[in-house]
Amino acid sequence: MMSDAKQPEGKAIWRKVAVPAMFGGVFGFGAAFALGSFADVSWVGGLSTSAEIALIGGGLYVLIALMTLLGTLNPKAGARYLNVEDEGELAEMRAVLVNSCAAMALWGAALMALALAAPGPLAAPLALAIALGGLLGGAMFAWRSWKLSDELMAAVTTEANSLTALLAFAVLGGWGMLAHLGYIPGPQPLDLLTGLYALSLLATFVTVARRGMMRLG
Amino acid sequence: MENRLKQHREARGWSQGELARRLGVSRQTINAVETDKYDPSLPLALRMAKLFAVSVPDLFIDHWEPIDDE
Repeated sequence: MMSDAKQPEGKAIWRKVAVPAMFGGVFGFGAAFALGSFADVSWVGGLSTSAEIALIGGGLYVLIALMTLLGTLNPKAGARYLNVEDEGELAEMRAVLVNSCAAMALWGAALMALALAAPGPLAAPLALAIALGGLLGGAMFAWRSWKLSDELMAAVTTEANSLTALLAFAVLGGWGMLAHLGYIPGPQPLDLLTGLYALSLLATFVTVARRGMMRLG
Repeated sequence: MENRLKQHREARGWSQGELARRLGVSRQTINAVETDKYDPSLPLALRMAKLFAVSVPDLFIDHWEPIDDE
């Protein structure tokens, strides 16, 4: 029988918070380091700072999607490092998560393609094709995930999107305002996209935590 | 919103998963409602009340009182 969600206690906190945090930290740092190194190799051609940050941001999207997909397809292992109560929850959410992972991976790949172009090793038309394909394909998978969600997940998605818009006004709008007045350098075009990706991820974490879905036990 | 969902569920001896299955929602939804992190939609609140054979106000507690104009 499936168990109830419980409050955090001793080992449960370690297992459900510290282990996934360490896991995410190690893999996140490793991925960022690898992508940063990749951006410096000669054939990539020395990317701008904006492009490097976009490459790392897109790569993290792909990494999170792949790790979540692996955990979803192998619930026993996934329950150890994903934010779920047990493997049964992963089995229940499988269809939603697989579609979400596909969307996230495609969106990440789209940002990576843009980061590697203009200037970069990818020709602008090819990068545009990959980015448009990734964004539209990702939107299709996101729509399927949303349709498969129950009302809490649908509410979380709507709330996260709303928070993303507010954060975008505050952060990107604030950046534009200060840059317009000459106080700070203005954002590069790619910075705006990377900012939206980062703020969307942040808004999702905040919303999930507010709804009590950060399982601690 | 304050509610008695957990008491009714436990009185039936159901886990959150069992209740979620009967209502056609996720366990996360049941947990979020029980811990007052999420107010369910009206259709779901009605289904919950029907399942436990109680009225919605018996399940969800609202302390609001109408202002007496007279």
